[in-house]
Amino acid sequence: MTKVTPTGLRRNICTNRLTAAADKKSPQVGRNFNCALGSNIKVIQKILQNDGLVIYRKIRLDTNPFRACYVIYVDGMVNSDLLNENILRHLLIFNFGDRRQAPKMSFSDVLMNRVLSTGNVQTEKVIDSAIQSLLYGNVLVLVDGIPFAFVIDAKGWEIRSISEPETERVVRGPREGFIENLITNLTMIRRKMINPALKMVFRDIGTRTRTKICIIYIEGIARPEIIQEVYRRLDKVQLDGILEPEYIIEFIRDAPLSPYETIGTTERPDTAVGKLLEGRIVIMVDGSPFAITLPYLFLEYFQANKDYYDSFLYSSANRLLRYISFFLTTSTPAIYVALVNFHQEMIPTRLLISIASAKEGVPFPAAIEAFIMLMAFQLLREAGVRLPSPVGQAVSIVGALILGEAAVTAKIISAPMVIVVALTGISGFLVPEMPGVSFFLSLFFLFSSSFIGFFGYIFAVIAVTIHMTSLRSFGLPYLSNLTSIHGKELKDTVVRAPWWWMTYRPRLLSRDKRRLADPGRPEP
Amino acid sequence: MPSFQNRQELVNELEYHYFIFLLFSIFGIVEAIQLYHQKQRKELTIYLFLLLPGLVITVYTATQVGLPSIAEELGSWFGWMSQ
Amino acid sequence: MKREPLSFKQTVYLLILFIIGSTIILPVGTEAKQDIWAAVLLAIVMTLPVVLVYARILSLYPERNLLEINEQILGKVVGRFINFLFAFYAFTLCALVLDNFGQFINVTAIPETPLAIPMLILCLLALWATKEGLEVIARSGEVYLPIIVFVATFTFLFLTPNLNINRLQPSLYQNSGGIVSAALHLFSFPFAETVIFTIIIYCTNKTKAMAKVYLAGLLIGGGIILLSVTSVMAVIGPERYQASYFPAYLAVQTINVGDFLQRVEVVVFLIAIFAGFIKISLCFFAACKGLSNALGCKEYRFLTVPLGLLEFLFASNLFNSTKQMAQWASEVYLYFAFPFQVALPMVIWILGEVKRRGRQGSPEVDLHDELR
Repeated sequence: MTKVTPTGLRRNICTNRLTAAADKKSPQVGRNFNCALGSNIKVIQKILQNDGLVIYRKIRLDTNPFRACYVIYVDGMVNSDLLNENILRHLLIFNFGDRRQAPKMSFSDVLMNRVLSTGNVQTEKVIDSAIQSLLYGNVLVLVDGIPFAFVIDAKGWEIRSISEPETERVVRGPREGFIENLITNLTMIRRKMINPALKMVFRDIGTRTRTKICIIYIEGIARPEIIQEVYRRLDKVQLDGILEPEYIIEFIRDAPLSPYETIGTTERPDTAVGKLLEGRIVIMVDGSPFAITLPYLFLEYFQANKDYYDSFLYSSANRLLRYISFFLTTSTPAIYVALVNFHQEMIPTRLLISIASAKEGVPFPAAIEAFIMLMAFQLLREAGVRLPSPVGQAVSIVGALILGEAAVTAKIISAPMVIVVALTGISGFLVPEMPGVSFFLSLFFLFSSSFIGFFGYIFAVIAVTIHMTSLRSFGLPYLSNLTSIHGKELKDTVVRAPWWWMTYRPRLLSRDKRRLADPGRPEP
Repeated sequence: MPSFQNRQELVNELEYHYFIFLLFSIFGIVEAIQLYHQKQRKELTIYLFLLLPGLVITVYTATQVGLPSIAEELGSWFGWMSQ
Repeated sequence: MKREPLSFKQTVYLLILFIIGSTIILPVGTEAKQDIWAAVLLAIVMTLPVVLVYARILSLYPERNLLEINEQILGKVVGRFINFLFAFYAFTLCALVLDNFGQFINVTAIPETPLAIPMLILCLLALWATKEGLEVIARSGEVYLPIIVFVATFTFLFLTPNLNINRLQPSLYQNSGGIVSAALHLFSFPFAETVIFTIIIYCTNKTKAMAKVYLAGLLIGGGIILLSVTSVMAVIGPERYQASYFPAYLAVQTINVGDFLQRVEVVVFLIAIFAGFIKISLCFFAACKGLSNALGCKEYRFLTVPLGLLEFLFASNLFNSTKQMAQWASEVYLYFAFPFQVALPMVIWILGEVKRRGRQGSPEVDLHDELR
């Protein structure tokens, strides 16, 4: 772990110097290597001056006459075993003078074909690009008399081990999650999808950090228009630093000001592959364990990956529960306030009496009460998330039990209101991806229903519907697949049908709609 | 107390008419500026020609009490409704 | 700007919601007394030829709505004048529906709040939806209709214990005048109001059979109306039906399931607001479209704010009381709406057919040239 920090730091920052140099339009920019090793090294050293992590190893090759050779790499970013065994060792012991070992080969061919025994070796003529790959963890080998550099892929730095993601735990299902290394993440996806149709397109993004991102899709399932649209929007990202997917998301998402997410993230390879198989596109950003999935529809708030790993009846029940809890978390305070303030006739008399007696002596109107309690709940939640877990638990106990109890006894808050807000909060945890949305919605509904009761509530619902129906995610209507009552689409929306029954992929998303070759109930 | 009742109503009417006036004025200014910048002169003219009378009527209805309704007026012209 | 055509399903949904609209809350067909079901059936039968005419007009000129067809058939000046009249009709209809719902909310739920507040909010919502475009209204309709069907089914189930078939008897007994008069009223409100749709939709590949769209919408919407008014009549009887401004509300008030689920009428009629909102926005959309066409503008969106203000002022000053509203609906509306619902469409249809005969020689080429 100790090695990670400087390495990570330099991977993010080191390229700055390069671009800073580039900005000044220094004469070295865009220059090619020439045959004189000394001048090449001077140019590189000039560009990388004040960079202590770069190591220059000079070797005198066993040729006649002697030729000088430089092996350049960044300390901590290369696999030292590979470097020592397959590069340095061979360069040191190879007998270049022996013509039998390399008959009729040019010197560079000898190096390429007889000496450098690593998998990925390329040649690079342009100095800037060579330095770019050096800083990405490759080894440069420069030899006197050869007007290009050998770029050897010997990357190897300390990475976090693969573990189960904290944010998306499942009871049944794979326990691996993405890590901060892009290549490792891609291999996790590739291992689940052994098919040449899985395409991975690399891009550099961020004018200074030059972060590597990878756009992943399955050819034949993903719609080409959407892929084109993704490229078009990614081209517009001209931010200088990309450290996390959110930096990109906020550039490429539709409706940037809406509280609704129109682009999803996931930390799990199995979820990512599942989305790919539905015809979605996944973007991975180097340095972050979160993958972007798009297009993202409203429906996906309610689809959890564990739905697909549990029995379909249980998953369908869970999914229904999630819809109900979304309704509860957004509407309970509003409905309570509307009932108590405007439509008392709807409450059964006994309940009304007990509510009235509980409210006796409470100084605030119901709407203010609800607002205070919702705010208090959000405060506690945020405090619990930020603190380490033992302290967080203490905070929630103090908050929930002591504060709530004391507030009711002191007649600041009425007891039914505590129940209402607790219900709101608890049901909010069932759809964990949308804390922001449900909180805003509950406040908005509360506000409007405190003015004209249920009708205010319904006006607010209409307003929210107008907003949501006007949203799109990469050309797809945000509410699509949810609003229609089609047998075909109901199978993975309100309920989760058994796998042998889900013959088709979600409509609009994919080009090849059929996912099950031979539908039918299994008959053992 | 009928007079008190009336005054109460007047305040109420004034309140929401004031709100409407404010709301539509803000909308109007924003959109009119937009139209002006887009050099849509014809649209701008129509826009103001429709909006300004609306605002004037808002102010007028806010300050009057017991106006006859449009249906009443029409009814008295054409003798539609038996009062 | 590229127009995105509505799908067949969306159009039918909108038609159903439009027909349900304010019909569900108002006393319709009171003259027919206990024979109201016959009046509704008769009205549907009367509307069938009329909607077929609407559909025919749209099918004559694919990819065009009524406004553009008018310009084509009647020439620029006359056509635009007719379009202005249609815009006025849509504007008035919008104000009427707005007023209905304002009165309804005011009378039933919040008598202390000024009548204008719910009207203002509904008007602003319709304004916003219109600004967002027809597609948003259509997709909202897709969201609302299942909810409405769901709630209506349960309401109907809970109402069944209170249904009294005796209230519908004696049926068809010396009441033919009442039935015909009620059917005429039902014809003008709500069924033939679907003339508004000729401004909104146009014939595309997706909705090739305009007649099918109209028939599906009319029959399903009419069926829902038939079911609702008949059950309301069976629950509260003709006398209370006639005496009440909002009879369906009275009927739902009688629901009482196990002494717990009672007085749910507010919740049930919240759902009616959805249909009302759709009707208001569609009318407002049609008014904006019509006016922008009459004034020769390409875009209608800039009209929404000033027209919205006028709409609100018109609606809030239209009637002083619920009584006036009911009176107007029963005495004047039929005659006011007749030219727009029947006379003008008939004239346009006949002229359109004549023109079509005239250019029979090379109709396809003509059409394609005009589309370019």
